Amino acid sequence: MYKYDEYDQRIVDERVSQFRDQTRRYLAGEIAEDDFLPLRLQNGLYIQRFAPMLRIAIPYGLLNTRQVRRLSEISRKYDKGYVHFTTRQNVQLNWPLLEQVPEILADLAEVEMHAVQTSGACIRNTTTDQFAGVARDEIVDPRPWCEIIRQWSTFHPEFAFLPRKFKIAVCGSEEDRAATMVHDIGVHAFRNENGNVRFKILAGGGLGRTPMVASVIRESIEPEHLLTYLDAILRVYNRYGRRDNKYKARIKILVKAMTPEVFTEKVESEWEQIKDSASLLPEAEIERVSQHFIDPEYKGLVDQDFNDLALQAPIGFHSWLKQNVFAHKKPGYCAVTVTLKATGEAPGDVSAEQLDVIADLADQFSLGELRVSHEQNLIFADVEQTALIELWEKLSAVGLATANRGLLTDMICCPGGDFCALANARSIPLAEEIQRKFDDIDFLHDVGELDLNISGCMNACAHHHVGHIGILGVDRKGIEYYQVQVGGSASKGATLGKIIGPSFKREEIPDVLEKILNVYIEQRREDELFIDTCQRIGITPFKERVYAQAA
Amino acid sequence: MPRLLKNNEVFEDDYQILDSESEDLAFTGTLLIPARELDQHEKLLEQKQQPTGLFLDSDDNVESYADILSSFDLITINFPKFIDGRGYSLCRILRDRYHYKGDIRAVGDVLIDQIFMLQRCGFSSYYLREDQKAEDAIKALDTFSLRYQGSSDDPEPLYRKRKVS
Ligand code: HEM
Ligand code: SF4
Repeated sequence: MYKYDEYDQRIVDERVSQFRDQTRRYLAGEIAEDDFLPLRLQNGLYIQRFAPMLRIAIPYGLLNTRQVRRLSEISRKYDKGYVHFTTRQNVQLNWPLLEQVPEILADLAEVEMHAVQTSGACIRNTTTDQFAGVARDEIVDPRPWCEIIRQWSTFHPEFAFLPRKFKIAVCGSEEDRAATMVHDIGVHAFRNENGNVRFKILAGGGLGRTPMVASVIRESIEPEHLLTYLDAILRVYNRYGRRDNKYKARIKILVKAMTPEVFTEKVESEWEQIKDSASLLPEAEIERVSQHFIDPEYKGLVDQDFNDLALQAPIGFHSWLKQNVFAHKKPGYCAVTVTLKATGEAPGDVSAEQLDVIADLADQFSLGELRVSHEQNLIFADVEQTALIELWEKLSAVGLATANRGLLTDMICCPGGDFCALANARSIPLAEEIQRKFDDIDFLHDVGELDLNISGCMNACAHHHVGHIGILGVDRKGIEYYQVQVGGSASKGATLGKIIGPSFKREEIPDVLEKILNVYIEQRREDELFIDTCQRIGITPFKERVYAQAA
Repeated sequence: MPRLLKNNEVFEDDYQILDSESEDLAFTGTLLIPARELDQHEKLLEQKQQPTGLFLDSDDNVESYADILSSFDLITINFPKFIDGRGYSLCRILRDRYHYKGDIRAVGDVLIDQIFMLQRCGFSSYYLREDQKAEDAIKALDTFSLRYQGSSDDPEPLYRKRKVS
């Protein structure tokens, strides 16, 4: 993974001093509340319902174990001993004190971490595939490109005050595991007919109040032009994006209003004027950054027979093996997902004790690294298959071996009314009620891969529009209700879900889900996934079942 | 009296933005002429002896004024609110595309914590908002000693300077 040199280190150290000084001036009354707000946001600091919340960047989801241990220490020292992993591969502290934030940032800087641009109307943390570098369907390793984009976007002087936040996601594989179609910019890395790396650039995707799938802005761009092309898109957005209404300020609204064709023309003509500059990305820099992501020294292993493996293991291992273990490009290796979705725990939450165990296990079993996925899970990317049983046993001992990766109960869920001031509804208790209702692992495995996303309000932090089943908290005359949609997907052929009808009370939702699942089970063709059945049969059968009058 | 940060110093510098109706003949400070109303002030431009500058608002289309930029020694770019970041792009276009060499000055809601980035985008002077401390503003010019990207202050990105160990 990328290792800071003295330059990178100096930049984050200077950021800590800058924020320390800003906090001091704020506390001394020299910076007004409104003027401080964007400054603290650009350092990931929100003031939430009960306390500030600090969002720490995990660039494209990669952590080493020193960093994991530091997060655990920080959560004990400055917070309540747990952290929350987010849907954008970041991590949040829910209860830090404003006065201590500069100290937290200094502790983070020591392990090459920061909270730069994790919030605010600027370019946010760039995200990618949690299986980058190890997936079998990978065409181009997205990580060096994410790092190059990270450096370009860090304190970009022209784009610190955009109309609204700006999120970039990079995908380098056949399957899109980074939801690039619903990002402000999606970058698809591929190889042209000569085997050279090229990028397809999409823009204008996003969810929130006006969900939209991104449009292709350019079919192919050479690596040396990647950054200037991004500059051109950002410049057009910075100048012409709406600033009068924050709900219409995202780039998706601009792309739609201009039409993708006109937007593209504007970008191209801007780019023509800036492309021949010192910002051209030299081969040497691509090489330098790529050196940080070359394969570790894998052993010459052979693939294990998973059936044999399962036979040697205690009960429970098999379903975990089937569900949480992902194929690796090297024989004899695999990637393991630790879902943070045990029943009764807020999705994405991990305690400091668990973090310490996870760090030890990553050292022992996965070359000292850990990844975060946008499904709010953690990944050991380089596990030897022969060590799987031992790893599973150790995870089970700390309640981290829930075999539900990709299943109904591995849901994406926002913090909702328990933490968030904007919420209409409490997503976390609902998540728990759903997990309690569907606690039969065999049933869940039978239902198979299913993305369930729960957002507490229109802001769609949990991407409910692209959940195969999406649940949205709405407010009806002061009472919390839940709207249900089906058929969304965050894959390359992204689709937005359709609302099945009037909303429900919270206690009704588990039964509604059961009806939806029953329709699928009855109608599915052999091996057909929930989403495929949905797309084949449409929403009517679901609607009829859910709203049928009791006879 | 407005305070101007320029060449690492803060000093008082009175300015007025001309509007089409009124004209204060006795005013001797810096006159700023809104680009949109330029044609109404042509005569005035010829007569005035005092410093005059072009005034661009954040939503002005700088491309429309490309031809006349060089007749001004000073261009001011307005920040109606500091979170309105359009002025950063306008300034870069003035410097990088039109190679404007005169003074470019930020005016309006200009705060200490934006000065470093303004400078990077090519601003060379700043009318500070009333409540901003002069010494902190001067210090802010040196907030970071390194920058990743090329910009109007220095077009070479870090990746062209990095000494690889
Ligand atoms: C608890 C306090 C939070 C608040 C007040 C909050 C607020 C918001 C708001 C206002 C938006 C909409 C912005 C827009 O569309 O322009 C948004 C979007 C988003 N939030 Fe949050 N959020 C919070 C927590 C979280 C957490 C914990 C996560 C991750 C689990 C998250 C993930 C996201 C994502 C992914 C989006 C983008 C949705 C899109 O593509 O439009 N948020 N948030
Ligand atoms: S979706 Fe709404 S309720 Fe949930 S975290 Fe985002 S803003 Fe808060």
